[in-house]
Amino acid sequence: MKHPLLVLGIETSCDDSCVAIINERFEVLSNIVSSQIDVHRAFGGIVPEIASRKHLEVLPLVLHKALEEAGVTLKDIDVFAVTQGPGLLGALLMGVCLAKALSFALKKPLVGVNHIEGHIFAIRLEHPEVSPPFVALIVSGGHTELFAVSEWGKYTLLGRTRDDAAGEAYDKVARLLGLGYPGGPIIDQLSKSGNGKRFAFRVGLEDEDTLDFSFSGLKTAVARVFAQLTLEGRERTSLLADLAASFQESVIRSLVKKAFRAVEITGYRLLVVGGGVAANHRLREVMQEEGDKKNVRVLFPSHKFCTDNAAMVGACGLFHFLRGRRDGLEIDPIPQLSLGEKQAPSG
Amino acid sequence: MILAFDTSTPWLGVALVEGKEVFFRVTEYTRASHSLLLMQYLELLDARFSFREHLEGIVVGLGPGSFTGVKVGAIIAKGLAYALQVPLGGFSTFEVLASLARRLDTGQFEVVVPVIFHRKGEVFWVEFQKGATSLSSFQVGSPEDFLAQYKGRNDVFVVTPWRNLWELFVRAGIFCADPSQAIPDPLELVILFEERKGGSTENIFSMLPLYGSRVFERESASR
Repeated sequence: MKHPLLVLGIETSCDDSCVAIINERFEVLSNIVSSQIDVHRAFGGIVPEIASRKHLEVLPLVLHKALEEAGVTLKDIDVFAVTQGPGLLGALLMGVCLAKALSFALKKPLVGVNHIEGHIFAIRLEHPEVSPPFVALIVSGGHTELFAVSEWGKYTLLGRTRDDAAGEAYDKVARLLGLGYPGGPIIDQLSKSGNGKRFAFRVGLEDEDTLDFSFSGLKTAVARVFAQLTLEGRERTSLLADLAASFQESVIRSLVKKAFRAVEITGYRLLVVGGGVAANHRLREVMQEEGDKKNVRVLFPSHKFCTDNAAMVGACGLFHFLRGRRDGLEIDPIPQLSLGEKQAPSG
Repeated sequence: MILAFDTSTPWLGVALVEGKEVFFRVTEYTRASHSLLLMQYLELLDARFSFREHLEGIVVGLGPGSFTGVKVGAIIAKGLAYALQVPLGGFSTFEVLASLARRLDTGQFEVVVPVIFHRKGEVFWVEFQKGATSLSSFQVGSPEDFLAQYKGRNDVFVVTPWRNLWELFVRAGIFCADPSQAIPDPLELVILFEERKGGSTENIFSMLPLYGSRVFERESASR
């Protein structure tokens, strides 16, 4: 009897080396992630050349572990799916080249996947009942984008950041405050003991009639307050926590406001939030509260499927494969790959 | 059959060999798109020779050279070797050029020095005693550093495919192979693999290219 269709996903768009295996029912058989955070921490951020070198170093082992954990061999795989973009060129290239080599060696089809679309598909791994239409907010270190998903595979870009991504703002502010890297989890943790109302930071485009975001000014605002801090000891620690919490509240306020404005415009009753920043506890809390207030269902993937992973790439690749898509060995990484056509908000 | 390829320098090399028979061999000057061209050659070769089913080994050029090129070759080689479950070999461009020099008329020279251009102002080189091809540590410096070390040495024979370096060295009176005879040949990878069989199989999980540049050491130190 033919086994269920198996898809092997590969994700290397940034600093995580990921391989996962899923079946045609979107069930995850294995999901291996090798993080490079410790390597990049010394540099205070991601060094693209180092990221691609680490991918080369660990990918074969990550692949081996993914197969082992799923209890299958490469010969059992029916389709290879790989992140084609957006992302860091050198990092993407490692995943794409490995996928091409495997696809060629085993004469199995290859499907290139858009990383952002992968984040949207992450919700399908744990909520198979979810179906469009819905609004998707993808928010991470490299992206902050709002989509109207009218059907799987059909996206309208409603808004995006005009400068820094939300996760990037977290990293920059954490560096500024001397808190370390990566900024997201550190600020989220520190904020738990801080007063988020102590400093009123205004976020760019917050009150304008656009679904675009702007976070670059926020760092400057935090820097201005931070420069005035002369306190030491416990008072300083408490002020840092207040600063972190105030910064976080501002970012979240902007994300929530725009996301629910998008829900209002589209008339959809479901909001899906994905990407690394979607793992933030406070964002999840506030989004959920707002959803309850407005009678909108809000869904987040679990933490492991919010951050970069290859299961979401496999899921997205499976969807396109089932719709007949086949990519040849001529596919190349596309660092600026976009998703959906931009549409001005109305309503 | 043995499949060899090298994407570490601007000269993309691909060869398919069985015993003494060379089914295919190409070196093509290309500044980019090594990954695309290599896959095209592999598809072409498989359509013609169905080599996947008959492959006994894969050998790859490990650089040093272009940062992107060395990584592209290594990851494709690892992927193919893992999927087809065949032994993997890897040799540096220095070893390839030293191996190539054995076929040139270098009888009077005691030392062979392959030189690799990395980027403006930086070259890599290593000394091989006559006939030897095993790599020891290599040196990094400017072309001027190289000249200061080797100018006036009558026992040294330099092998480099980069014409600009060749012109500089010849003008300084250093004996050099003609650049057209010094292009990294994928057949040398096969020869080295065959010569060292048993002792040279690389581990798919640990094989890494030679990057050469010390740029990250410098960056780390300055932080």
